[in-house]
Amino acid sequence: MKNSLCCRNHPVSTRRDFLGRCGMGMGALGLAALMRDAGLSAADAPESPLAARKPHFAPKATRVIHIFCEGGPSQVDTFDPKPTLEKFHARLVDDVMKNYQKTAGEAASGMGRLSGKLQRSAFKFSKHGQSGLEISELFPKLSAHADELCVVRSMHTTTSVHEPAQLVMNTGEFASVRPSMGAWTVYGLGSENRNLPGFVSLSPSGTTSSGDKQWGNAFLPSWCGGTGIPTRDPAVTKMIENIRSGTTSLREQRRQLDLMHAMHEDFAQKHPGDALLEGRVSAFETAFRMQIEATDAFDLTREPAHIRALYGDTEQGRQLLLARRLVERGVRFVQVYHNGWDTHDLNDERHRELTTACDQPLHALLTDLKQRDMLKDTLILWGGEFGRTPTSDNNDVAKKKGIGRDHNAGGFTVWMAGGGVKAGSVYGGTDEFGALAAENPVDVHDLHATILHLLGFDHERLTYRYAGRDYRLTDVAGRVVKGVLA
Amino acid sequence: MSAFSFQIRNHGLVGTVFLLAAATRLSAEDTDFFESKIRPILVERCYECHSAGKKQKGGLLLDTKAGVLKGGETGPALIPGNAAKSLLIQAVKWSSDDLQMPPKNKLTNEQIADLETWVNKGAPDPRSGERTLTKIEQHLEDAKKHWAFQPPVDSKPASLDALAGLKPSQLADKRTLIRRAFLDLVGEPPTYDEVNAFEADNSPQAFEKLVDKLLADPRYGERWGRHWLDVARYADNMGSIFNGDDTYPFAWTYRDYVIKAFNDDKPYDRFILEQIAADQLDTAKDPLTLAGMGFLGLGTRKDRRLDDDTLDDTIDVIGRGLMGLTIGCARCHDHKLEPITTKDYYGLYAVLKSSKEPDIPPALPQADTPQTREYAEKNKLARSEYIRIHAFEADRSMSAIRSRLGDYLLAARDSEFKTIYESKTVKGDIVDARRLSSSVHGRMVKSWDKWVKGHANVFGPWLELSALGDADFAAKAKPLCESFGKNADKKLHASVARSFAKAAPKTLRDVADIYNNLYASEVDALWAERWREPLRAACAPTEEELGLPLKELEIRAIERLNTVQRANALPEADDQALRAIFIEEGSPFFFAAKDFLSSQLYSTRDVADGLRRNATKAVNELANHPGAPARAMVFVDEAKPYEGKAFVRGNPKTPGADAPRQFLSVLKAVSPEPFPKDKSGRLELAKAIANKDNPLTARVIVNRVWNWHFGTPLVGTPSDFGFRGDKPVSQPLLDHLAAWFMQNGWSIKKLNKYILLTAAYQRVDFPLQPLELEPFRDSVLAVSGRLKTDLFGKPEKIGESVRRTVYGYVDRKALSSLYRSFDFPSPSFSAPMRGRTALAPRALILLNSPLMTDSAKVLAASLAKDVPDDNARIVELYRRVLQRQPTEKESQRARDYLAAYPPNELVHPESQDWQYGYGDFDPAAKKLKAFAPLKAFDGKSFKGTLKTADGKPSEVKVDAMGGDSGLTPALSSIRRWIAPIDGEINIAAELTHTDAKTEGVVARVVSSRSGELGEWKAKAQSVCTDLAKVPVQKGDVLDFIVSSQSGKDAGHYQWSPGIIVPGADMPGMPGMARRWDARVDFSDPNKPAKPLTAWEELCQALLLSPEFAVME
Repeated sequence: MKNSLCCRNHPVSTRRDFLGRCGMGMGALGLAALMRDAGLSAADAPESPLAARKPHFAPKATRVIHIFCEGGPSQVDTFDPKPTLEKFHARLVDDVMKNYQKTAGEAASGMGRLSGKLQRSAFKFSKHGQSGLEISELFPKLSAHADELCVVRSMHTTTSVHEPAQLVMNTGEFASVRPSMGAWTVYGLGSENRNLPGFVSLSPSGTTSSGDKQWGNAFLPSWCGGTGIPTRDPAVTKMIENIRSGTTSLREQRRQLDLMHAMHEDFAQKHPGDALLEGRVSAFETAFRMQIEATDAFDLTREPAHIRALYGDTEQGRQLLLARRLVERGVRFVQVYHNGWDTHDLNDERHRELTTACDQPLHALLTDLKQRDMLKDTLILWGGEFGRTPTSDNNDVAKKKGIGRDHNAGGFTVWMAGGGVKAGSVYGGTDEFGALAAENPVDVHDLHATILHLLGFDHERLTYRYAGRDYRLTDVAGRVVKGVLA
Repeated sequence: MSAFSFQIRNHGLVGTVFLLAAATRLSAEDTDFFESKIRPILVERCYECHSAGKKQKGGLLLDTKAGVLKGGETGPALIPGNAAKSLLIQAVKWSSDDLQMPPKNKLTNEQIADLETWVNKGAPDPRSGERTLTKIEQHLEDAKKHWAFQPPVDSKPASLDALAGLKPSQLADKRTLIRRAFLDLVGEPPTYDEVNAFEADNSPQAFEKLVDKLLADPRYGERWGRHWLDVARYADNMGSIFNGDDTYPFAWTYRDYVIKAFNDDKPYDRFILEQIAADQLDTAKDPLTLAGMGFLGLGTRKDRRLDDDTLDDTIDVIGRGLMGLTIGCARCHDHKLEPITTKDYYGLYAVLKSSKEPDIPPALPQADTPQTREYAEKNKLARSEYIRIHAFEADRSMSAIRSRLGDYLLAARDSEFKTIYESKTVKGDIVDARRLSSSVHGRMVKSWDKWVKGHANVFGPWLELSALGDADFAAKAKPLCESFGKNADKKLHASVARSFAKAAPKTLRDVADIYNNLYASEVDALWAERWREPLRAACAPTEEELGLPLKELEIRAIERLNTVQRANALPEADDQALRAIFIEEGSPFFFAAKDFLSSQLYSTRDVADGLRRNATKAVNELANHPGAPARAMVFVDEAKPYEGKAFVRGNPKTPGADAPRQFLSVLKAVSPEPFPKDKSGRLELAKAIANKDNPLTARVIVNRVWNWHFGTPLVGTPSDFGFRGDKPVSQPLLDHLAAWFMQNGWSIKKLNKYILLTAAYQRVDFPLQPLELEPFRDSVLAVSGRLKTDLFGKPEKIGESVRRTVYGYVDRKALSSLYRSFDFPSPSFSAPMRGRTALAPRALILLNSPLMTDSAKVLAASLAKDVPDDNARIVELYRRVLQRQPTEKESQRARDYLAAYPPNELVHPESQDWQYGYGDFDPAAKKLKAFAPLKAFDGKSFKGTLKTADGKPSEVKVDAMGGDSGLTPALSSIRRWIAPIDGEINIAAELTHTDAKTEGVVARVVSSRSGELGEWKAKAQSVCTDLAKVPVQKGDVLDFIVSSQSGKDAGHYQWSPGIIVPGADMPGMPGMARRWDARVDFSDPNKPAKPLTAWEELCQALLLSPEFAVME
């Protein structure tokens, strides 16, 4: 009974309890082995839920950079060439694709609006590398890395509305609030740097139209959630809240902390060995150093000139370079938002601009990770919440400005690189028009299952008990897409 | 058969038993038939889904005879002897769409015939054994033994401490005890005087008196109500995933209700009833009670309407929050782990589905104040204007549509009378191209026979002319038009005849124009004189409309227009007759209000849009008026309760078995009857929960209360008392508390007191608890004298408020870092308990946030005012923050701290090492000839408008990121760094110039010691300007000079160097290389950030102390 009153075994306060709730914790490895492997003893465990942990089996990737092309890139203009569109260019969809949606099966229901006229791509595709991967002229620099890319052309998702589809891509679900992929990753793997968050989301505004749910922890412990960082202003004091004091010098803060520690010593005599108090001290020390160390991580001018030049001083260049600096420092999961892919009008012109903005930085990221020997265990995921139609979107704005493309949840492309994916390969395919996933369809749960697999997790066993159920990223679905594994 | 033999011998019931045995014993032939034909079918094609140990779909088990006869959810699988009426046979024959088994490959005809034969023979079945239970049946069976479903057994202990089995322990000292009670019950420390008074009270009732005082303190409701708000997943918005306002404007009325309920010590059973069904209780005495129903509706929503996911959230909060049951899992299938069926889930679903949120939530009583009167006045005006604008704009829009009468006639013909729905090409080519409304077009086509052909006096000419065909149209049309003009037989309306009298249409297009013109000039022009005044007069809102949602009000506005249209005739009967055609029932040009809106007929002129937008804004903004009424987020019953089915796999498209509105089957004993047929059943549900016979409700709340006091619950999973939840560490203790609680009127305050008066609570080794966000922040504000103590009211942004934390706006969409770093639970879910992580982000907030530094400043100022002497002031500081005297050691430490405060310490010393100016760079000498500071600082940049040598004005600017150079090299912009130490530095910087239309810049780094260190040019490009290992001595000057290349506009540049001295440490941070960052360091050197004074620093340090931040 005494135990019930004294024990501080709060469900999410200690590592032991945490692992007890963690579906992966008590499996083949066993708790003790897990702690030993992580270099932790039970004594120093309680206050470091973020400490690095080992997954179910040997991982191929230990960190992830997810480049989220918000709005939905057009697959037929980038990585999914469709010569058939040339043939039927400008023909009415109703004439060419009669009864198409009916025969296309379930995927069609969430596809969006396939109407109007078929629209060929304005961009030339050619083969690249030894793999002969076909990439459009929009990515001249990235094409040089064709032999590193693993292109999945048969993605499909459940809704063609932006925010819900983004939630599906990030959390697997849109009707309810669920933990994001990054949160699951940190929950499973911990982090390798206690002075930085385990999961960071970089976007110009630091938030999304649906709030921070896109990178939220939902019911997972709060330390799993992503930290949204606005990158529009590169000054670190603008990026991280409260990172520097506006009223006290570091030297004086040091004196304050020393005074506080003296008070702590006195107080701790009354409560010897209290983990809560000790955790408090180390949190303050960490925070104090973070003021400069985090500044360092976020300060791109600390990067050598030729590297900065490689990425380029553009929004995407800065974000991707920052992403590399963060994963290099042990941040487990970095998301980089690239906004503006919702090309309902001026599809071609805007794809030209968007790819110009990201081609060089993507090339830089791959080059840079490779030369640091980090590409092999860093997984890069590039893609949007869905794709675009192979038909023209003839809305009122497009009529005035120029032809666009509509949302397409029925078929789209993502690519991965590094971290154990089959380099220089294409998986799956859409139909001859590029409209619906046809060959080896991959839904978002499958993609999630595959990413977790690469991180060393059986997606069915990475679970968290909440409200009477063991939840997982893939809910009750998902299968590992073996065809993309190296 | 031994049992049978026994019976035969002893009871002599030979005949009966023999018959029974005969019926059981099968003939060899029957056995053979079953084994060779039937068993293989069952095993191979049915067992996969219908047998023990496999899936048990529909609750049907076919692996025993008993199972076959009992059947599943839809009844017995077969009727022996009657194949035609047997479900099994109907299913294998796939005779209906709903029941086709096996679902994928149908059995062969031969197999089906065998099954039929078998059933018709009486289904002889040699298999014996009890029907095994399905998983959910087993769970329900197991539930009978599960501790949480047994009524609590009260052991009536001598004392709670005896029950808790505590070893005797010393009691805490009185200061610790009073702090504990204060932080626990009111979320703030006591004052020093209160501690003294308590210490001085030696009566045995001292602590009891203190507890009574705190329970009567209004802060109690603010502190304990907040505990409940965690369970109720309280937030001030929906967290909607779509753009737009997702605020719950009145969620705070629920929060206030909860605070008041705790302060009033509302019995917990009544508290539950009110939160679920206040609308069905007598609330006349206390209308605020209605606000309690916010509990049901303030969860996460995707949009404003209630959808199935919202109801799921409500079921979850009822299940886990009130009873510790995870009902939500049964949405798609019977709970896999707990005794909750899908039918249970959909029974509750049906209760909620039979309820709705009224369009206008009831206003809560409000005092009559000047503010409320002003609101009433303004609201009336704004709504009147809203109605007027929408009615007028609707008429304007319709008038524009009607004046294209001819175009619509023509469109109907050109589209060959196809409606837009039949062919997309019609829409694209005709309706869109001609900018016609597809709704009007569709109605024109559909009503053609009745409306156009039925009004020959108007449309006769069109019908005749459109029949002519294109060839020789003009020639053929001419005589026709003449005859229309003469109108000899008076078949045409006079104005129509007039329109054609002089007409000579060359094409049907010309005829269409005649009709366009006819309507515009003959009808609309006259009408325009008539409608404005009556409509304007009709715009005043009714009493009801003063509170209507705007979408409803918009409908009312158009209804008014329609009424005025029909009620006011043109003065000439003849004119009116023509006009009546357009506003009669069946006219394609007359829209009922809802149709008008759904057809999107408003003119899209920018001006019109703007008018409507402004009118909307004016009404909406009034919601923030201080006199605006507060409303309760209530539910009311639907007129007709929903009678539903359980959805298979949670999908509304696949309804399964009936799910009547009733209470959970596992707790059937509490409420055995289905809920009444004529009501939602919400009240009955609430009564079944708030029930003495419900074994869960009291246990769940007393466990929560225990946890809120001790920081550790008796059942480790406070929202899960099911099979998978934790067992109570002491069930006798839990049960006693539950029983005691119910016997004592479900009073939370009595329970608080009962617990606080135990030795368990008062002992010295009470577990340390870190203060949660609310008591921590409230304590900081309280001891520093900043706290504003008003009760109740609208939420405020936490960062801008000095009210108690419970009044902060809880944003589901973006919870601020303060909440997140303090383990505030995600408001998307009912939270069983709070996490306790001690991570760096919280420490950063404590070190650097304005909450802490502002509080330190206020505290220091008030100390300085009250106590002039330093030594006495230190004592007073300890009294205020920690409610005790400092020890001599502590006083000395504080004195030492103050004494060692550096006199001229800067917050950001690095910023002093920079200067911003302009000057003349001599390219030949590679030296800076002169440096003059730019003095004007506008908060973002230093700048000056200077003159070139030939007198042209030229602006020079330096900001955090870069700047603008002047037009000539003499007016180069300069960022200057003066080395404060000796050492070797590395410089990292990138020069970026973006505007290709300008001339570009040349940038140089020049050292006062070594001259020019580098030179770079940039025009619409980025250039690296790094320098390594530059030696400097204290006082050396490095100038970062940017010049125009040609005397023209050079364009804006970005160049913000970082400087590192690898060999030196950051002050106060050994091991971290000394550094400067032009961006971070950028500030006005004449107005350096004001550092905290020694006293302010000391005050903050005390607020950071562990003793302040934990409850001992």
